[in-house]
Amino acid sequence: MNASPLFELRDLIVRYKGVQGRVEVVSGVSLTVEQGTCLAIVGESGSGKSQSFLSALGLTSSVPEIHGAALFRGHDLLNMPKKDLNALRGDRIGFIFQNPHSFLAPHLRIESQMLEALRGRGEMNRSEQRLAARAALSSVRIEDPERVLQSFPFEISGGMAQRVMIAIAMINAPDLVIADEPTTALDASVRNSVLELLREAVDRRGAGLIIITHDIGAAAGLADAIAVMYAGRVIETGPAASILASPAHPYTRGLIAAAPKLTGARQPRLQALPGGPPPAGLALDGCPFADRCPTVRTACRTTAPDLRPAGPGRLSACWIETAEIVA
Amino acid sequence: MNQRPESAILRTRPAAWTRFARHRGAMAGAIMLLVLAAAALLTPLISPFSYDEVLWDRIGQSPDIASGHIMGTDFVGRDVFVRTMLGLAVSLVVGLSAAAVSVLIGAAYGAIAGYAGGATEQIMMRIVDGLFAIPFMFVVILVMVVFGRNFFLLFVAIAAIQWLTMARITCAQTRILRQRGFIIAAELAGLHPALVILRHIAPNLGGLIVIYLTLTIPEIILIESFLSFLGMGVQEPLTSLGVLISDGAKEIYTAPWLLAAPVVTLTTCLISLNLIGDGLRSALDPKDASP
Amino acid sequence: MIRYIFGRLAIAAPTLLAVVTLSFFLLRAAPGGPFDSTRALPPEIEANLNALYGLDRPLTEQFTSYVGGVLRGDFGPSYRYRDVQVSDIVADALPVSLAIGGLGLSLTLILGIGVGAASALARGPALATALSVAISVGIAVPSFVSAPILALIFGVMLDILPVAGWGGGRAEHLILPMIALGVPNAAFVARLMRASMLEQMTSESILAARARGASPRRIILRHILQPALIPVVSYLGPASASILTGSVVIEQLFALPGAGQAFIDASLNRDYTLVLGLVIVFATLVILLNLLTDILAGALNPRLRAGR
Repeated sequence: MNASPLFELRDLIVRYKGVQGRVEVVSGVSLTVEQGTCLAIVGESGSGKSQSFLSALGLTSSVPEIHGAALFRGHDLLNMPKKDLNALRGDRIGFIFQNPHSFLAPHLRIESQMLEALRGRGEMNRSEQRLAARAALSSVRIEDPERVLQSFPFEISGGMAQRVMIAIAMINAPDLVIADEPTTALDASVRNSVLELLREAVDRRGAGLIIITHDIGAAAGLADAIAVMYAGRVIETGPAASILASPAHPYTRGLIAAAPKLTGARQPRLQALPGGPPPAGLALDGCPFADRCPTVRTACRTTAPDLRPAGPGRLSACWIETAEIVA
Repeated sequence: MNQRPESAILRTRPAAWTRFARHRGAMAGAIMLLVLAAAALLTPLISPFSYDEVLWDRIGQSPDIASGHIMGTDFVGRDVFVRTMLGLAVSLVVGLSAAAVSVLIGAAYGAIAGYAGGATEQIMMRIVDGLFAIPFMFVVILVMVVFGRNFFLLFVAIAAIQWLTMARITCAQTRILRQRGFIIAAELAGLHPALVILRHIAPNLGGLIVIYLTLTIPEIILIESFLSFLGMGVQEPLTSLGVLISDGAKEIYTAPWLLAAPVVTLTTCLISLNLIGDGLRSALDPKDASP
Repeated sequence: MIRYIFGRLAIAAPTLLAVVTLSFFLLRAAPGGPFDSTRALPPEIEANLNALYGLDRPLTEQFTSYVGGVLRGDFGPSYRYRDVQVSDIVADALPVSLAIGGLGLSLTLILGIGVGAASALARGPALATALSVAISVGIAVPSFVSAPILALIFGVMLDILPVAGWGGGRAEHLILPMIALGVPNAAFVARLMRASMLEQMTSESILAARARGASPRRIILRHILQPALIPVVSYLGPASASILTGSVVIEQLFALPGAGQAFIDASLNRDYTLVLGLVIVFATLVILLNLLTDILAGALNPRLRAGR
C-alpha cells in the first residue's frame, strides 16, 4: 500500500435530495494530495469545493447520495464502517472550519472540547490529556493556555478561537489536515499568522494539507499545487507556481485578475469576473463557464470540455488551447 | 440583510406567501378557522332558535336532526349549537381584540426599551423579568373579586398579562435594528427618537407583530375560557366557550352533548390558530422554521 | 455565578414585595367591608369588629403590621370564619396542592422532554407526524377540558379510578388529577424541546465535534441534549405557574381540598384575608421557582451567567 497517495478523490459525485428533485453539487471530482505537500482548492462559494471534502468525510448535517471513492492511504472512506471513519477523524485527519465561533460549541469550555479529540488515546490519563491540550495551545503560540482552556468560546477573540481550532486539529499530529476557508472570518492582521501556522504544521510534521479557499491570493504563498473548481467540477489543476504564472483556463485567469495581491494593482478589478456560477442542479449541455467566459465559442455551448493536459503536470478543462489565447 | 420593512416582504416577495401556502398545516388551519368564524357569525342570524330564549318544553333534548337541535338543548331548553357558536364568537372577539391590544403594548414597550438601550433598557427589561415571575391568573381573579365581574375589566386584565413576551422579543429585535445603517442615518439627520421609532423601527417589526398576534390569540382564548370556566368571566345570558364547558362538565354523566359541542369547537379553534401561527412563523421568519 | 444569583435575587425580592403591596391595597380599596353580608350591624359592634381586625388604624400602619405578620408566617384571622387563622387553612390545604402540583410537574417534564426528543429524533414521516399531531392536540386541550373527559372515561365508563376526593392522599386519587394537570403542559414542553433539539442537531458545532472524533454518545449527550435543555429549563418557572393555576380548576373538578379550591371559595365568599394570604403564598412559590429556574439555566448556559 506504500504506492497509494496520502489522500485521493476519485470521480466523486455528491447529490442532495431537494424540493425540486436531486441536486448535484459535486460532479466527478478527482484530486490527489501527497504527504508533506499542500494542495489549495480554489473557487467561488457554491463551487462544491467544501462539499467535496465534507461529504467524503461524512461531515454534513443531511446525508447526501455519494458515488466514487475517497481514499485515505488507499482505504476508501465512503465504504468504511462509521466507527472506523470516526476513529480516523480527529486522529489521522484533522479538520479546520471557517468560522471558529459557530463551530465551537458555545456552552462547553475550550478544555472540554479539546479533550474530545484525545478520547481515542486510551494510554493517556486525565492529567496527561490536560498537558497535551496545553502543549497544543502553546504550539499555536497562545501565551496563556491555562486561561484559554478554562474559557468559553464567547470569551475569546476570533483569531484566538481559530488558533484553538488549529490546535484541536493538530493535537494528535494527523497525517492530513483539511482547512475549509480558515482565514475568511478573520481580520486581515491575524490572517497571515494563521496561514503561517498551517504551513509550519505541514513542514514540521510532514503532513498533507488541503486548504479550501475562495481567495487565490491566500493560496499563492502556501500551496504546492492548486486545483480550481467551478460548478462542482475541477476545471484546472497543476503546480501552484506554474498556474499562477500562466493560467490555462479563462476562469483561473479571471480569479487571478481579481486578486489584488497577485496583480499588484491597488484596487481589485471587480469587473474581472462578471456574473455568477450557474445554480447547482441545473442541467447543462455545454461548458458551465460559457455564459461568463470572455473567449466563449460555439463549441463551448454544445459540449462540456473534459480535463486535458495543458503543460507539465497540468490539466485544464477548456476547448481553447492556451497558446491560442496568449497569442 | 435588506432594509425593506419585513412587512413589505409580504407584498414584494411572493416567496413568503408561497411558503405559507405550501405549509399544509397552516393552510388547513386557515380553512378551518374561516369555516368556524363564518359559522360563528352566521348561525345566530340564520338559526330559528335564539341563544337566550327559554323553551320549557324542550329541556335537555339530546342531539336530533329532525327537531333542528343538531347539538341538542340545555337544561333550560336553549339550543346548544346556537349557544356554542355565540360562545365561539365571543371567544374570538375577545381573543382578537385583547391580543391586538397586548401585542401593541408589548411592541411599543419593547421598541422603546431596545431603542433607548443602556440603563433604561436594563431597568425596563428587568421589570419585565420581574412581572414574568408573578402568577398573574391569581392577581386577575383578585381584581375580579374586588371590582366585580366586569367584561371590560376582564379584557384589560388579560391584555395586561400577555404583553410581556412581545416586549422581550421586540426589545431584542430593536436592539439589532438599532445598529443598521438606515437607522443610524436617520439619527445623524437629527430625527427625533420618537419619529425614528415610528417611521423606521415600527415598519420593520411588522412581520414579528403579525406572527405574535396569531400566536397570542389562542393563548388569550384559553385564559378567557379558564376565567369563564371559574365563573369569573363572561356572565349569563351571554356566553363563551369557557362558560359552556363549565356547564357541560357539570352534566357530563347525564347530558354529554352539552360538553362535546363546546369542547370540539374550542379544540378545533385553538389547533387551527396554532397551525396558522406556526405557518406564519416559518413563512415570515426563515430563521425559525420550526414545524 | 454568585454574582449572577445575587442579580436574580435582586429582581425576585422587589417583585415579591410589589405583589404583596399591590394585593394589599387592592383589597383595601375594595368597595364594601368584610361584614357586608351580615348587613345592618349596630355601629358599636362594627367598631368592635374593625378594632379586632385592626381596620381602625391608619392604612400604612395596617400594611406594615400585615407585612410584619406575613414575615412571621402570620396572615391574620379569616374574615369569613372568625375563629380560624388564615395560616391554619393554608397549612391544611397547601400539601394537597403541592402533592398534585409536584406530580403534575414531574409528569410534564418526563413526558414533555421524552416526547419532544422522540419527535425530533423520529425516523420516518409517519412517527414524526403522529407525534407532531399529538403535541398540537395536547396544547389545544386545556386541563379543564381533559379533566371531565378523563373522569368520564376512567371513573365512570371503566370505573377503575375515583373521580372525586382526596382519599387521604392515596395514589389512586392522585392519578387523574396528575394526568389532567401534566398533559397540556407536557405538550408545551414537548414543542419547545423538539424545536430546540432540531436547532442543535443542525448546528455547525456538531460537525466540528464529529470532525475531531467525539463519540456519538458524547455528541448526543453534551452537544445536543445539554444545550437543547436550556430553553426547557427556562420554561420551568412559567410551567410551574401554569400548573399552579391549573390546579385551581383541577381541585374544583376532582373535589380536592387544596389551596386552589380554598382560593376560589375565598374569592366567592369575599374572604379578603384568606384571598390575600393565598395570593402571597402562590406568588412566593412561583417567584421562588422562577429564581430556581434562573439559577439552573445559568448553570447550564455560561453565556447567561456572563450576561451576554
